[in-house]
Amino acid sequence: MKFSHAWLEDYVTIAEDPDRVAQRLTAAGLTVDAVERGAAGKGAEEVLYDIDIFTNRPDCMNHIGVAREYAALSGSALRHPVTPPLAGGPPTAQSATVAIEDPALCRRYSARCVLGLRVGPSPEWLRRRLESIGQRPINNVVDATNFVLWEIGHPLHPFDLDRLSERRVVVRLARSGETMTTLDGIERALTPKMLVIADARVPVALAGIMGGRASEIADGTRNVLLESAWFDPVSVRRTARALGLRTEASHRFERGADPEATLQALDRAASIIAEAAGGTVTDPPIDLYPGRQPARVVSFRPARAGALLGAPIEEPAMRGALTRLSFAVADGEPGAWRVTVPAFRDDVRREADLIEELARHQGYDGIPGRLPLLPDDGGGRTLEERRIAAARRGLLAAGLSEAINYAMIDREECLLFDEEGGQPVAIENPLQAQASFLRPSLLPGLLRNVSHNLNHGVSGCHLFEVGTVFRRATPVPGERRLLAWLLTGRGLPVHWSLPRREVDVHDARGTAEVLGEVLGLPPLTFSSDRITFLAAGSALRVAVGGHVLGVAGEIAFPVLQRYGIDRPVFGGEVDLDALLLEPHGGRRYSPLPRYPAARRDLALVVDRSVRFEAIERVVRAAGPVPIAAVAVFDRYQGAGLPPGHAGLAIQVVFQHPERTLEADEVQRAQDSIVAALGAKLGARLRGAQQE
Amino acid sequence: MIDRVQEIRRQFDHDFAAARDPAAVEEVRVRYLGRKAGLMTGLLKDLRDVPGDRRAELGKAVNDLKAHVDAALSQAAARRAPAEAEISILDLSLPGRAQRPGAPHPITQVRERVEEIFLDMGYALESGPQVETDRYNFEALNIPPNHPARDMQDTFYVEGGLLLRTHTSPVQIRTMEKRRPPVKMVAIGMVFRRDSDLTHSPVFHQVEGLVVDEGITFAHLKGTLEHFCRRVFERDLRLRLRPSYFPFVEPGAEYDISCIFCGGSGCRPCKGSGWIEIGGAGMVHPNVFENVGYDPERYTGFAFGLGIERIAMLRYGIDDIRLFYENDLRFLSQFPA
Repeated sequence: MKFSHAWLEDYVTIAEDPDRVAQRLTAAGLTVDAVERGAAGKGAEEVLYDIDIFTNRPDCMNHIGVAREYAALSGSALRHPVTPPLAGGPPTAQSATVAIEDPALCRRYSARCVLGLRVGPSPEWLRRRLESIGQRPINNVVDATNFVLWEIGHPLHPFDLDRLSERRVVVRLARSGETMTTLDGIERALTPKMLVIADARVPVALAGIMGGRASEIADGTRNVLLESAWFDPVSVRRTARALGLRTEASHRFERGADPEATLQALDRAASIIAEAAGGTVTDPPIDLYPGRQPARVVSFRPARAGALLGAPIEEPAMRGALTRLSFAVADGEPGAWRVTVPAFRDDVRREADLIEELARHQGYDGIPGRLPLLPDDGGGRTLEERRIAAARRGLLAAGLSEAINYAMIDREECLLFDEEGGQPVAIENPLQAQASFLRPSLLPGLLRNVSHNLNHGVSGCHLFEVGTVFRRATPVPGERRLLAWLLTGRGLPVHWSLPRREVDVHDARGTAEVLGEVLGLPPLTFSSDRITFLAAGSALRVAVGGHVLGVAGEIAFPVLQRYGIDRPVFGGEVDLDALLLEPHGGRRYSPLPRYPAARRDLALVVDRSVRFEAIERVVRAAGPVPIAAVAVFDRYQGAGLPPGHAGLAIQVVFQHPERTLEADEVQRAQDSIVAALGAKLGARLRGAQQE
Repeated sequence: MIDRVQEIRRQFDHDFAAARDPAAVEEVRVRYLGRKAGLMTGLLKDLRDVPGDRRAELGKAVNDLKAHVDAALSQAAARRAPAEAEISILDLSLPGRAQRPGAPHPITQVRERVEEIFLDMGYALESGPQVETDRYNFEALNIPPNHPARDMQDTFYVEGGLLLRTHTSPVQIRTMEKRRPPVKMVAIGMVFRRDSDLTHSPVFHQVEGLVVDEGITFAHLKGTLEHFCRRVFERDLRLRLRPSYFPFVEPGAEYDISCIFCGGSGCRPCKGSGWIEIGGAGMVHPNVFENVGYDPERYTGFAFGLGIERIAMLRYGIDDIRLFYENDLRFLSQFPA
């Protein structure tokens, strides 16, 4: 909000330069965002303060309000504008009648008329004042009300009295079906929740928001009814929002206008209009005040202020500061004061508010910084948080980079990745359609990232994300932490000495395995399945201890197309929250083997349909010598093999916990493995060799 | 035969000690390990003819000697300087081989740093849901329906009368509801505002801190923020509190640090003011205490908030908040620990 230095000087003497003024105001909570200097003509300098007035300080949304703060801070006196007496005219009640049907929403309605005026351009001084703060002058009636808005802060509205049916003003709720064209030329449909100003027949203004076109001040207007009222903040806010309107008036009424200020503002505007446009001001005014409320008195304990701030303030200093800020201080209970709050400070409601007044008046800089001495909460990171951090570190070490995405995606993406066909959680007022639903999966975000990277010439992409996903549930959507990863381009590690290799489905699975290993889970199991967003034949369910906790595989081509990706992408997603509930596989030490292991390599030829997991099962079941590990060290197809067959080289590690194995018992075990593989899986030996 | 083994060992030690250059060492190797006439080779052959009952004992002795000879000769090879020709074969200007780790996200890095600073001070880490009720996000925080302060936080509404939390302050309420003072917590998480430009993202991460006990003061708030800002920016900066308005604190404040770029003399990032705004803070409003059943006469407390992205932007000199969410690897790889 813009404030003119020169205008402020009408109400307070400013001996300091504008930068110092800005500092003072900022330190007291009227944050000056900028001091703007411009030419005011005739060599004079125009200084404007751009002040961020907080929602709770509508009393400062005008020049007198800011001047009052500055006066209290600097110790200068505040000068109120002088309005000459308006006596002499005919009583207002002879020119118009006013009725308040809903006194809860309109606590006070004051009005005067200016009769026989001539609408025209405002005098120079008035135009300049408005222009200095960026307001456009309109005519001598409207400008006078705007001037008062920026001077005293109370929003006024002028009606063309002759356009008001029966010269009557009724403050009432709109009737269903009523419409009104506002000053901006838009016809508004009104509802019975909206407070309006009506004449004898129809609504002529939206109370506290905007006037109607029909009774607008025009060149031919001769008689004006000036409204100076108090409207309920919530009612004004609801109506303004419902109609998508936001005006200087509604801004102030929403935040709370001062019901005690209606007459002062009314008289000030009437007097300026009479001076600028001629005419007779009616007197006395109409002043309906059904909602008068006693001044608020707050009990204040000076000792409490020091205790809350951690820095004592002398009692006389406190008393002085409150008085300068327009509070009336009287003695109350022992150790307490009775502080009367001025009507324009509706934000001050309890002791803490007065303590803030004192703190900000003194400046927060005067309060020392001190660290509280409190016992350690003893919480630290939970085991769960530490394990998530470990999972993240594990994937980083495996060469994946971390992504963080918005939680919002579009509906189609939700459906693509939601196998259960559940309804995604909708955002009612999204910023964009492509971010209108809460993600049920992290994969859409990661696919957007892969697409972005490929489009920007980054060829290899290995990304993971730990994030929250949402699923519809009552009464609130379910939130779970998931971990997802996507890989495309060159397989890791990349080095000149290694053959160039593109990532494939085994990398996708490997990432899940890394995760299981760093979290110390029992071995993950993978089973082929049909998964809507994964390519047929390259889609795996990931399970731990019999619980399916995720998927891994190759992203289906139609899904990639949606993201404009033209090369294979592999990845997976697991439910991290569920994963962390699985029993930890190894939190106890197992003694190192005391006896040597015996290793035997077997080069097998098998039908291509025979899967490694079947081979491993047969090997382990063959007995009787205990087996510590079964590992694949080569797999090949093609030359030298019968059609439809694959060569699989495995190493079997035999190990007995209590003794060294004899060569011949290992040989017998190996023979029985070979026999079992032949009988159960049709595997042949290409040759067995001893290490 | 066991005597022969010992004799060969003595002889080897003598010959090996006498070998001064690579050629001499090679001679020793051939003499003992040569495939045809090597002394050791002969010994191993002879072992086959030893009767079974003695074979084990002798075999062990021969194996020990073999190991002794192998070890001595391989040590000699390692001692030997490589020939010129061998050096030139290796191009050590080539990049080395290792699996490089991926890049941690800068938001995670700042988040972990912030967590550490507060954990070091003995705070607990708390969390709450991202889809919130109006009560936790607004009403319990002294922001009733139709309060103009709601304009400060443009809200995304979710079906079912819910909303996406606009700040992490609901975690204050959830924490106070489940435990009694003293409370000393921080919550860090994703928050949502219906707002988007260079410095505002509809999604960002916020830190919320809360300390409640008997005798907690505004001075404690100031000291805590000072300590935090100095540690997170790793320099001896000044802290400034300015009065501000947040309905859930009173007195309320915004806090600034002396500009980390110019030290306070005024520059472009601080718009010439010498100060950089970090976040909001204040003493917990008594209405908030009443809303969670704490006695505002007995307990006082402070709360503060700040944005992780804001800290990251300042720390790394990032000028567009959207970069955090594109996850461009050329961006992500710029923030080593």
